[in-house]
Amino acid sequence: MSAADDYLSELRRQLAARYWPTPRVRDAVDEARRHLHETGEAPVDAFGQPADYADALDAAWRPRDRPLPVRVVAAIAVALLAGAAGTLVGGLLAMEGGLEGSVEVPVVQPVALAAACFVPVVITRVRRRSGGTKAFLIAAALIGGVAGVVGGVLQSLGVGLQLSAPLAIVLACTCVLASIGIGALFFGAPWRSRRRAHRSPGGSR
Amino acid sequence: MDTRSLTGRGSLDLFILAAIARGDAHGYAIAASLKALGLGDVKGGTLYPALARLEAGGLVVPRWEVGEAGPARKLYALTARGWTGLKDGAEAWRAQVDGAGRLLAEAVDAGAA
Repeated sequence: MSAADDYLSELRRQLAARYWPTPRVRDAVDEARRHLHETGEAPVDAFGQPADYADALDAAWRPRDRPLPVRVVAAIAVALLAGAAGTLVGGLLAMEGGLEGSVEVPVVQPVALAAACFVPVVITRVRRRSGGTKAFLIAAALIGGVAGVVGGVLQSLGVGLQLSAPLAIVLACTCVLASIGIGALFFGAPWRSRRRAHRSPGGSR
Repeated sequence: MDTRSLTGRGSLDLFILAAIARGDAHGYAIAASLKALGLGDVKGGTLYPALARLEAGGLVVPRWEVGEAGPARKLYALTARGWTGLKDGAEAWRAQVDGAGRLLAEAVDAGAA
């Protein structure tokens, strides 16, 4: 592969790591390819390091992608889910029956509220994305949301929700995963800058 | 669009809009236009994020053109919002240039006297 191909391949990876939708990644890479073809410039001379260029492009789109109301709603969802997980864990710790027992779920309403907040937002995001890690995060969020909605409906119907200890643990873990997933989607993945530093081949150029 | 500054992002966006207003253009042609007019050598790392900003803001709209040779080109055209932004930006730019001209002229005159 040529230096340009290496650069464009890394640019593609950097943009994907910023959760760009696939068509937009393709457009940006194709446009860079055309520029290099026309000018004959060295990629780093033209665009800078791939990670820096991806940052600049990302900054151009980001404010439009994540308007303030979406961030506020997502923040509420994260807070509710995190609180629900904490309450669940606390309930489990206070339970005397061990794994054989069951627990009255005191977190159904906050989880249901969180689901009401973030499910439509996440569905909007799903339409604009693809990819393994992203799909995992979105799935985790959706599972948490659906669990909350189901729990909320059961409770509103007067059906007492007694969860067995293992199921409660799973629900708590799902809440934690969903919180992390939603947080990463809307506020930036904390591992991203470290991964970028490790992967960028620009430093060798 | 930010037109408060004579330099930096606001003026670059304005110049790019003006270059596109001369006719649908792709990134490299826009950079070449700006350079030919003495407005500086705008590198791809600056130009394309600016174009992305304008596209995200709805001031320009892209379309792809498959050329005879090489990869396809992404051509940009101004939207109605882009034309409005260009007009407003040009007025703000003229006012700033007039003000700067008066300031400099007065300073030079004061120095000569």
